[in-house]
Amino acid sequence: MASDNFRVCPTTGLKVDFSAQTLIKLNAFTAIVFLLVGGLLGLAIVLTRWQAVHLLTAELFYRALTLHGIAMLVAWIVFFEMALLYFTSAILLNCRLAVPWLGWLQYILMLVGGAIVTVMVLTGNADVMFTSYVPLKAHHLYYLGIVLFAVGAILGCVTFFATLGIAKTEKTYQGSVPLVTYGAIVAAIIAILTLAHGAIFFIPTWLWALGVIPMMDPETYRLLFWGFGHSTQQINVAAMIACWYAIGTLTVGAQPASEKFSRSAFALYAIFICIASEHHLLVDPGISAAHKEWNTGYFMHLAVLASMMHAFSVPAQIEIALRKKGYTKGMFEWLKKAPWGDPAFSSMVFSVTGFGFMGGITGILYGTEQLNIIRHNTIAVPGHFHATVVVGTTMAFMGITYYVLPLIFQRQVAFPTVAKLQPYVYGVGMWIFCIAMMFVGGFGVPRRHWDITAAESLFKGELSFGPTVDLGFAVVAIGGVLAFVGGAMFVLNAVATVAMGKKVNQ
Amino acid sequence: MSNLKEEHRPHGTAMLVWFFFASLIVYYLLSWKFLTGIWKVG
Amino acid sequence: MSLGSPTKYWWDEPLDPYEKTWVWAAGVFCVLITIAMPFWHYTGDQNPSQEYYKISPEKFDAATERFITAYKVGEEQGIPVVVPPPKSDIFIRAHQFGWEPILKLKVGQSYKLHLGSMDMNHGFSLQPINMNFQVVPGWDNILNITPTTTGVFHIVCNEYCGLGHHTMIGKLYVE
Ligand code: HEM
Ligand SMILES: [Cu+2]
Ligand SMILES: [Cu+2]
Repeated sequence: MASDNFRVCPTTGLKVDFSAQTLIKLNAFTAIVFLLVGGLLGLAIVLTRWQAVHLLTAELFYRALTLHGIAMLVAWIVFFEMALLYFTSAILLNCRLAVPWLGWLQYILMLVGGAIVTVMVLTGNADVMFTSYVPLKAHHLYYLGIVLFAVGAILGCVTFFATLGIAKTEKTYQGSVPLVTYGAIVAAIIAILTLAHGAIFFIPTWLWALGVIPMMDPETYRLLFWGFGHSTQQINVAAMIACWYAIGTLTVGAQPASEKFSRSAFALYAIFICIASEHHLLVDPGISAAHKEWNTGYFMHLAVLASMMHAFSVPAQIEIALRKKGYTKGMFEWLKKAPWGDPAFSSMVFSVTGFGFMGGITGILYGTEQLNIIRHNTIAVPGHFHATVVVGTTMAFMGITYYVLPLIFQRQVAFPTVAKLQPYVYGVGMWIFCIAMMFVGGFGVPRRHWDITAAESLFKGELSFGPTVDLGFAVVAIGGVLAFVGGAMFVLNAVATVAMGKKVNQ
Repeated sequence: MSNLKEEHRPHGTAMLVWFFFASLIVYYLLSWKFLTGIWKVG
Repeated sequence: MSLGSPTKYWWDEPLDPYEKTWVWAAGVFCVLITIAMPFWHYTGDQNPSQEYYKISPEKFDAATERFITAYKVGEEQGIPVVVPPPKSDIFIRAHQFGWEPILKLKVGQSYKLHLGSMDMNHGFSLQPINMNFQVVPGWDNILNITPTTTGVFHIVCNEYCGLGHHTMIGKLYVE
């Protein structure tokens, strides 16, 4: 049945467009390479912050931290999201990919941009952290790299929407788009809005680094940066939740408990969360209390509501599916009989619970105007966002990868036992890591800091966060190392599968 | 999903989300308690 | 099936009672935590800055120098130690990589603390009491503070401000 441009998937019966397939492979694989780079840096960083080891020098630490943030939060996540966009449009809608060359341009621009940024950071030309708050100044090519990367990502979204348009006109699906595609649409809408917004301050900052225009006011930069930076995190949230629903279907055949309920929740993200970025600026000058409260209260909490709705409907759809399979005894027989050995399933469970219990709760707390006074810029903040963007998004993406490998790469996972254990190693490690960081942050320990004993300051020997914090950092390190091992299991297994996994018979 | 049979309704999930809700409230209130331990500022 | 198109009239499906209760509870919670912020703003004793001005680093520097000259009582590690009268305007200047001056404050007395930066963003993190505020170049971040505990405090910079960031420590006494 396969024509020149299509093959027919033997498992799902869907038509798989070849250019979509190639682009999914390239983007997903590149993402995983960046995950490896970021993971190695993460290991080095966590072993530096544990001052009993203090692995890196100060300069290397700040450099590694800058690159870790970029390789992970920007490269790994966004490359993977590009793969998801092509998957949820061309593949799920049974359609050809619109304008394949635009997709290629997306990939090339992002790759070139990512490479420029990486080189600039590694050569010590951009020790500015991924936030690059002015007046900190990086080499002008650093900003250019970011801009190229962002333009690439926008082109990916354009290709996605063009494909949706083709699918609609060519009637390759009936009625409404699938829920997972709907989630991806929400992610892509937020992406286009925020990336365009990013241009408003990244381009002037680039021109400033070139010496063409004067520097932007630092507080204005912070406001514009987080208007962009916070909203981009909602792309990740929407993409992550789309993966939760997809994994529910792939692993236990779940159907959305209520399409109306889930879709309304997704829509709330698109409408509200983009605006809630002032929770990064709660203890800043320059913005009135009324503005902060309005921005983070009304706009953020309507998005919190959306997350809480998904928090119900994601497990509910799984419970219903398992109950329909006959596991109806008591409250929790279905939970016992769930496919815990399926790495996609266990990843998803870690993702849902970690995002909710750790990331969600601390997000509400630290994002409250007054409570932010006791958490702003402490290491509790990285504790919070490793719960959201690592346990949450990264584990959801890892989970779905275990299905992308057979369906798109057409390879059987090379080491199934490693795959089975991987989510537990990574998930448990990351839970320990996050909780310990949030705990230590409660003592006021700063983030992005090379030496909390202040040994090179005027007041050396006077400042100490106490033995509890030292112990806490040992736990942070144990969790971090465990997570690194889990991450390595994932990356190596994925690479081995792509390189030498057994071909899925067609 | 209103047409589900009673035995297929998500009873377990309903319980789990209330457990989540309870932890949320507990941590939320605790945090305000911690906040009052700092100096007066405003 | 979330990977396929839903049945035709999905928007007409009524919700399960569990879903309805949950969304109401979550909604009420969200309203309450939103109201909590303005509520504490008017009734609570711990709030972020309500007052701030745009000010050039040079002007902020000059104001800090005037303040130091007026109330200086000595030096520690080459940094002026200053004892300002209660209820007065007090200044802390942040720069790569230090905080000046060292303040000696009286417990239970209120002060109007001005935080400003000479160069980069810095983070004012008062330890071990753990209060954190952003210091932004070009801005005067004003806090009405009343120390409620006595002792020796250190100011850690908790916003990355350059390769010497971890050496940026200040000091403050409350008696
Ligand atoms: C093996 C896994 C990982 C380990 C051990 C790890 C460890 C760390 C540590 C210790 C910090 C520094 C905290 C500080 O001093 O401020 C950090 C920061 C960060 N991490 Fe990770 N991490 C891991 C995975 C990830 C992943 C998967 C992501 C994103 C998807 C991520 C995103 C970030 C970001 C954005 C920062 C903040 C950088 C900054 O402050 O500029 N990390 N990580
Ligand atoms: Cu500083
Ligand atoms: Cu600093």
